[in-house]
Amino acid sequence: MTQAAALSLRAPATVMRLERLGSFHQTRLSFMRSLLRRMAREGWSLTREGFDLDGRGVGTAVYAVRTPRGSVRLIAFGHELAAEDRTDRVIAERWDATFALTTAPGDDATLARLAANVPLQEAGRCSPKELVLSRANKSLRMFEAVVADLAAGRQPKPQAVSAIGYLMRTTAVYGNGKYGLSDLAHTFGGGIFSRPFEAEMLSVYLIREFSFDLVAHLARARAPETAVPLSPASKRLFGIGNATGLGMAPFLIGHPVLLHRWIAARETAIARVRALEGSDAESRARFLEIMARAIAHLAEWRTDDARLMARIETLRREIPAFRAWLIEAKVLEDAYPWNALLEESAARLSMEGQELLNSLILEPQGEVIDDLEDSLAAADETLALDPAMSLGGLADLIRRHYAWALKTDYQAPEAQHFFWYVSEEKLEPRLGARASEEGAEKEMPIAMARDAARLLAALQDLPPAMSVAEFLFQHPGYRRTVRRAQGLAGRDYGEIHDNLLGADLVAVDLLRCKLAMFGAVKFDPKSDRWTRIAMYQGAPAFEDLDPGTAGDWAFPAFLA
Amino acid sequence: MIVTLNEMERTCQKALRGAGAPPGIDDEGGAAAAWLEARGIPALGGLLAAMAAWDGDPSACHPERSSARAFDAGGRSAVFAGPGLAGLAAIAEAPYLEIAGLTEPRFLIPLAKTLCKDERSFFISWRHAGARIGADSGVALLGDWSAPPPGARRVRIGTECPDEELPLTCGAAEVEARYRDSLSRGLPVDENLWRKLAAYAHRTLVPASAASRAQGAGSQSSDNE
Repeated sequence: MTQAAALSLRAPATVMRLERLGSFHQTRLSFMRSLLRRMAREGWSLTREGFDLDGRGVGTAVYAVRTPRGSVRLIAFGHELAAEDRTDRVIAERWDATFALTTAPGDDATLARLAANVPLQEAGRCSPKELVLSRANKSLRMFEAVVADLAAGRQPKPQAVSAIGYLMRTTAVYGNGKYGLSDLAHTFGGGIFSRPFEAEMLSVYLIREFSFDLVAHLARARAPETAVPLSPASKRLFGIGNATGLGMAPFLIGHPVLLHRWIAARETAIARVRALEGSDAESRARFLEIMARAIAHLAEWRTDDARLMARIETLRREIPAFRAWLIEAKVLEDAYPWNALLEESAARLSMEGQELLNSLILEPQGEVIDDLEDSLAAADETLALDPAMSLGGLADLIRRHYAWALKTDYQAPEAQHFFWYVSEEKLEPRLGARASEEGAEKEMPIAMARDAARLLAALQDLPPAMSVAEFLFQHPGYRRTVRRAQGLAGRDYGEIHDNLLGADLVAVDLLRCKLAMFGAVKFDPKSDRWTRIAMYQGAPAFEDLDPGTAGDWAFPAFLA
Repeated sequence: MIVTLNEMERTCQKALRGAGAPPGIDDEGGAAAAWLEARGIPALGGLLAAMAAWDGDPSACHPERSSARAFDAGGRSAVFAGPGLAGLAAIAEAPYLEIAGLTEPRFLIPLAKTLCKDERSFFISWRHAGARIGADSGVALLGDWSAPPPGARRVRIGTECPDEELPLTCGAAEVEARYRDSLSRGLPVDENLWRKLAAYAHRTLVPASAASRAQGAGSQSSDNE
């Protein structure tokens, strides 16, 4: 095969199916991964400027992060929370801890202002100096067990803690202008952050540092004579948990330019590695090492969700067998070894396995792909309308780019089984069954497959030479669909190639795609509409962060 | 009350959706209102007036046409008619379109801005005020912007300047500086107007039902493990 052939990206028709997106795993380019490499590379510092919490964990802590381009602070408020108030649902009103990431100084005026608002979360107001607003609850059994271990002078045992893998879990991490926070353009204009969700990912990492300090503080309060802090090795056992529901799902449909850039970067990385003509001994050893670690990680990944657990069981069988085969066949010593691996994976591995392998082959190739991190952001997400395009051209465009959407009969009840709406009670996106639930007339505008088909039908009897401008002047109800179709021409990974209203929709796949881009692991769906995850599990704590450790914590395993 | 640009844009878009604006008109009208407010040009009052007058008749989005370049909006708002008119102006062979009886013509500015591309630029004017809009050069305000023009106006929108005599009031750099200032300070809004907008936006929400509660998308009522 030629290098040019290897450089071609996978077709959107392959990549953008929801089942495949719902099989994604983290990669080197995931936001948490790239943030830690950047922090280590640029020599960011972390100072605990204040930790004024009592023996119950109630009080305030201040963490200052200094970067070459400015400083930010995480202000943490610890609260006492009754058991009956502890819920991960977004409608909760009290939490174990609340947080703001701010560019304001950590002085008394700032702390007083934030103390009056941050604990209220959605009911409070932040200012444009605040970049991120968040809250977290303790994982009670885990938190208490670790405090007890530390108070007794012991480090927690990996066997006891790795299955849960976090001390606290966030239930919301807000940014981009919500509740008075800094608009994204202002956050990016501040100079420190330039990549998607970078400020949010830093917040979560700092919340993890706070959770380490909090368990040590409470252990010391309980047994000052014997207590020890978590060791750097123990800290790797714990990430930050998160419970994510449907609120995150419409983001991928509402930000198609961003989705395109994320997937295009990932696919370009895969294509670049496939195009490598050979492999050196170091990259071969590194790949086999990370593959072995992934196998151990799979053994520790558990969920009560039958659909995903069946997939994990398949991975546990097929990935070790695949590793054994590639060693036996010495595939990595052949020409274009990474391409050969991926071609073979199509025959030997499940979809989950193929996407895991895609992630694994990127791990040793930082020099080849890490520059793609800078292509993940979209400064302008505007979808440009072309009023001069003819309707003939528009129809051709839709037939080319939305062929996947035109095969469905949208009159069939199963094709419009669901509708997406925003709940009055929760102010969050929800899925309703069209036949049995009220509110379909208020459905959210995310049914691009159906809308593309309707637009094409509307164009059938109109003169092909008519301009889009004239069409939209006469038929204003098609503006959104036309703008999206035109604006995504050339952004081939901007649409999910499935009917998001269909009876066979598995909404949690949307969450999996986005969370994998973040860098999450240990997906643990609790229904087809929400999932638990772990963030930063296996990552070095700040005290342990250097250019070596920052790049080497994918697919953590602790029990081998 | 101070809100962010994101809150302004999302709330205006939801309000238009709640008012029943056609798909896309809600997106563009809401974004246009936020664009104007972020640059110190009042828009919420005009947006609310447009929504109050909207009766669901799509003809409000396409004013009556008496010739290739002459239209009569009949007192309707640029919030609804503007997107279609800006599109026609972008491709018109005539140097400009003339629209009689259009209210809130300022909404045409951000709507036209989204259509600026390569060499395509726009000029918009109504009696004593207007704007010059370019893809790279930004938006400059012309004429008298001291008070919002009440009532309907005869408006010109085109790719060639129909009112060159209007003096420059606020250059593109200052318009951009206003936007930067709004980003760093937030946008002050009249609480009464904001409440009215929120009431329209609230119409997009679906009340809970027994089925929706049973299908909750978050974790269940207690999470104490």
